[in-house]
Amino acid sequence: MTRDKKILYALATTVTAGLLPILLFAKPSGGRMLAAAWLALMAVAVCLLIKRRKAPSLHRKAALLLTVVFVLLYFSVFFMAGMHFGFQKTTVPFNLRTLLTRILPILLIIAASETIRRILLSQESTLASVFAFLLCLFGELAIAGGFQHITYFNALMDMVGLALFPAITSGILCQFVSARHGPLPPIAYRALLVLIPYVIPFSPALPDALVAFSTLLLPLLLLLFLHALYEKRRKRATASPHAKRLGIISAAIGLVLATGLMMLISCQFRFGTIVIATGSMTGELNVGDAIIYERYGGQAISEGQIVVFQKNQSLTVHRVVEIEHINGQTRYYTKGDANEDRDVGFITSNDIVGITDFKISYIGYPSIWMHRIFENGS
Amino acid sequence: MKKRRIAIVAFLLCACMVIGLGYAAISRTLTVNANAHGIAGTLDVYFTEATKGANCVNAKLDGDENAALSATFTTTDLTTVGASATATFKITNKETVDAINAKIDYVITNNTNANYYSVAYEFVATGEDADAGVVIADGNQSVTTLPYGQSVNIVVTVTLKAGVTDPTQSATIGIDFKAESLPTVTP
Repeated sequence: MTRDKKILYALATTVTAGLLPILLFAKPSGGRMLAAAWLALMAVAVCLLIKRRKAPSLHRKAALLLTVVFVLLYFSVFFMAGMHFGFQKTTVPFNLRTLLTRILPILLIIAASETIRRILLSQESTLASVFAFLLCLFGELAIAGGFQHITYFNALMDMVGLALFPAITSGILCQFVSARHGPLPPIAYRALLVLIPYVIPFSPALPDALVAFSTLLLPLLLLLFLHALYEKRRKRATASPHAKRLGIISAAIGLVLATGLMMLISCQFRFGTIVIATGSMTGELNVGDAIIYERYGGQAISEGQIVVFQKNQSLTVHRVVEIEHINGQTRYYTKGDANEDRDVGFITSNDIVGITDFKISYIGYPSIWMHRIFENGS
Repeated sequence: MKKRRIAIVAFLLCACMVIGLGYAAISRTLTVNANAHGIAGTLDVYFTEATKGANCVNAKLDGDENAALSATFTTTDLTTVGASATATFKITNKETVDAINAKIDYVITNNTNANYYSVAYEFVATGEDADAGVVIADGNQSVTTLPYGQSVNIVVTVTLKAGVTDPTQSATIGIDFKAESLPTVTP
């Protein structure tokens, strides 16, 4: 191995490994600043110590413009979705403190990591490319706050669904774009995605599942678009038209199914899904079953129907055993089939989330196992 | 290039599955069954009443109501950290022959899910004529004198203590007590 390669791999390892303790042990706000300082320092070291090779930078301005337009289009659709889901105030106000403790470190992380990525990719080494991918991924996770604060399952899912997976697909896009069009489009892409929510004081109240799904797919859609637009058509053995058609149809079906699944899981559209995790309805609905319910919109409910209702900030699926009309209020008394007694108190129409339609047996077990594994391991 | 495409598609499928499984709504009805047992011996000291308390769905005596050696209470919907369910069981010294007084100083609790639930008990006077002469000691943790024909209450409290309410968690809490005879003081 040449001396240059040794320096290259040593630096790449140092940069990447240096981010790990920050991700695992630093608190979110401190972690961002530490990661920014570390990456800035390493970017200087990489620029000084690693020979920069000439790398292609084709259609720079066009790629940059397309990236910015694509991201703005995404946010337009994202905010239009707020008309269906409603809006919520952002939790972090845009002020000087936010600028100094969040925005500036984030911008520094993005700029430094993309600079290092560009230099590593220009080395035309697979290992260097892997390091480039990893350090930018770790940078994204540092922006998201690291893992130190994750003490319960929902926080883990937010990190995985809203930070890790989008960071992976974003990394795939940025590797591709940086290698062909220079570092500016990836910097613009990452910066806009992270910073726009800080600047706008409200955001659509989309379910986390839908946000996770859309941020997972967005970079790959942009990648497909740029790839189709700028990649040269090389003469090579390509798939037959039949195979290409099959590929396109499979992709379309997959996208429709995945979108449908996310809509079900979000429970924000006409139908929702819920996993049965306890045995109070054993016999009719067993642990591990997933039920599909129709969202309640004022439909008549009769005794014997199984409903999904919200009580004490949790969802319960029980059977309506009695209905009373008192002083203009309709009271529903519920009971789990396997429970000896009725549920305490009663519920009203305001508490009802949906009416069960049908169940799919056993399919909910993986969700229950995921919760259990995390709880037992924590 | 083809391998990369396959890898990306495989990653997408896995990611969608993880997101789908992780964000799926889960029904939450926690069940805690608490069982209080008197250990059978030569004394006629039994559970004679079971009363539901806060967040208690069902409290009942098991077996013969006149000679119940165990009682059960069930609670659901403990979903907030610190939320608790209580039930009160009356213990009566039913001795009549030889007028034997009893003491209850052997109480142990068994909790199958101590990570999520804590259990506590205390003896409390019934506040009725039937508790005349009952002496509760050790910070309400034992009954040094339960005269024949008299009663005392044992209040059992189960509290959700974990920081996370995993809807799949349940627990069986056991309270065991043993009544022993006190020597009869003859003038």
